[in-house]
Amino acid sequence: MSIIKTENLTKFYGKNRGICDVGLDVPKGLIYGFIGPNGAGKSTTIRILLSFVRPTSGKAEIFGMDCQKNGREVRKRIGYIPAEVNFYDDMTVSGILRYAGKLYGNYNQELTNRLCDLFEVEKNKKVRALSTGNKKKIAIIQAFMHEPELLIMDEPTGGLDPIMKNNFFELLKEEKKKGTTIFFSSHVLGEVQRICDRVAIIKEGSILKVEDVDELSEAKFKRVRILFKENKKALGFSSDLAGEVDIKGSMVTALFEGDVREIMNEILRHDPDNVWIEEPDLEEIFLNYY
Amino acid sequence: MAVFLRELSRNSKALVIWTVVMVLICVFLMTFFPTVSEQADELDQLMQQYPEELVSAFNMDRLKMSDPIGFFGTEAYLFMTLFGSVYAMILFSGFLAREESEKTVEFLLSKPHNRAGILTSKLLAGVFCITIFNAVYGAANFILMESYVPGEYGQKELLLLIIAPYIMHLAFGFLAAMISVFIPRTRSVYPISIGIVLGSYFLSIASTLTENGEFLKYFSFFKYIDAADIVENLGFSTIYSILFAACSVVFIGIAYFFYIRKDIHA
Repeated sequence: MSIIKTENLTKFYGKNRGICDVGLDVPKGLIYGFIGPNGAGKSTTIRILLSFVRPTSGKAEIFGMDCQKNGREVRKRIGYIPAEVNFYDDMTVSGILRYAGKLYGNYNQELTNRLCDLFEVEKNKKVRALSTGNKKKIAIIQAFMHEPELLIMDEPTGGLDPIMKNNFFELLKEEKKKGTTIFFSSHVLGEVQRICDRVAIIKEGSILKVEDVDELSEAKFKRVRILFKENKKALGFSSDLAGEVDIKGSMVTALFEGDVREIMNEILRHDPDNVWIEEPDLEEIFLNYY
Repeated sequence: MAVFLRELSRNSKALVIWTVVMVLICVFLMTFFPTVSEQADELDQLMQQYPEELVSAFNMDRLKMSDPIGFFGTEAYLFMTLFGSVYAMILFSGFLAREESEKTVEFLLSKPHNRAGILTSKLLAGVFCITIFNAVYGAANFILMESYVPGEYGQKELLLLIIAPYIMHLAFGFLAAMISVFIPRTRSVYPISIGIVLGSYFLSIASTLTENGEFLKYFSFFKYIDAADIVENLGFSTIYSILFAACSVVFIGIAYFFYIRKDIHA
């Protein structure tokens, strides 16, 4: 069952491209990464899903309902953590949480208290006195407090210290066990690799690739270092299977895409002196697409 | 209800300040009434030295300063219509503009409420604040009038002169709400709102000063609730009442139509 489904979703801001023909299919219970650099269209996609902006064309559905027409029904079952957190400066933390609870209509007080303890939140502090990281903690708590079926997160860990990040990831794992679907937009690829099951890569407003994180990082890509006897051979190295090639002296480093036998045959064709094959991290794979 | 209560709480301080200041202005002005009343002849002579158009523009030809209602209509009424409208504009334009300027709008719109409902709650909070502001001001003026002019002073006229600015404040408020849909930055929308009130006031003066400019009266809410007209007719003009209602419906309609459809940017 698809929790989020978009088809040919397009948004133009005047003549400027926001996103173009974005198609997403986020199944229930998955932590779905959404990665791309700044300006790629991650936030625009999220803003359409939450009906902050209207699409120029295309379809966006959550829980099988149109995000624009049934926005209210859809948002009842969603928790949202924005990239940039802004609350009402005149309110206290507990005031913000109470207000969020009233806006949801129904929320789990016990869970809210537990999350406040987990994130070491000072409830009586005024919002204006909070640091970016502390504001982010409140944003996390208010997104979870009504036990949503879908969590939409736009750069959720920005400003959190390593301990709080860890607490946050543990919380996500707990939610996943409960069956909550998580849409995790980020450009911190290490986090996506650590937590996500599947990832969609967006570039210049269009989806470039959708792949399970394990497959993406293990199966298709290899970081290969090739040592040649002579610098001249290294300088002349080129391959259709390799992405951007880094040459230092007689050492060539490149990210290869394809079957490992195919890669090996290709390398051996160049008569190397020595070869090292390693698993790349998601960041390298991601950069390969750009 | 949550949004309505939040707006009341957020705007309560400003409401108290504006109300107290307006009441203090009325108290201050009324302390002059006994003196002005005693020196009615000298005041009339002084008025004759001013150009006829100017005296007419401030209604001093039709409202007598020595008369309690005339004094109220030329003094406290002017402050209430002018300052009250500025307050109404700032209040109503702030409902949407503050959310967008302070970037709290994402917090609000990510919750399960539709935009029409949010706008309704905010407008109702505005109507509530304006009602309290005018009710306290009205009550204070009745008390002041009773203390300074025991007996008959024109209770019905005073009531009409208290209701009239209330209607105008609401119309200005709805106009401000409409403007803030298109100009959602407080830094821009507040000066524009104040400019519209002052512009409208000077338009009403201009429409009286020259015969050619008489048509301008239809473009100024201040002219719709001219104190001398209300006192003379003991009621509101039908055409102006219709215009007030029509303008309010149009402002609110445009605000809803575009707010529901607009893109909210980060």
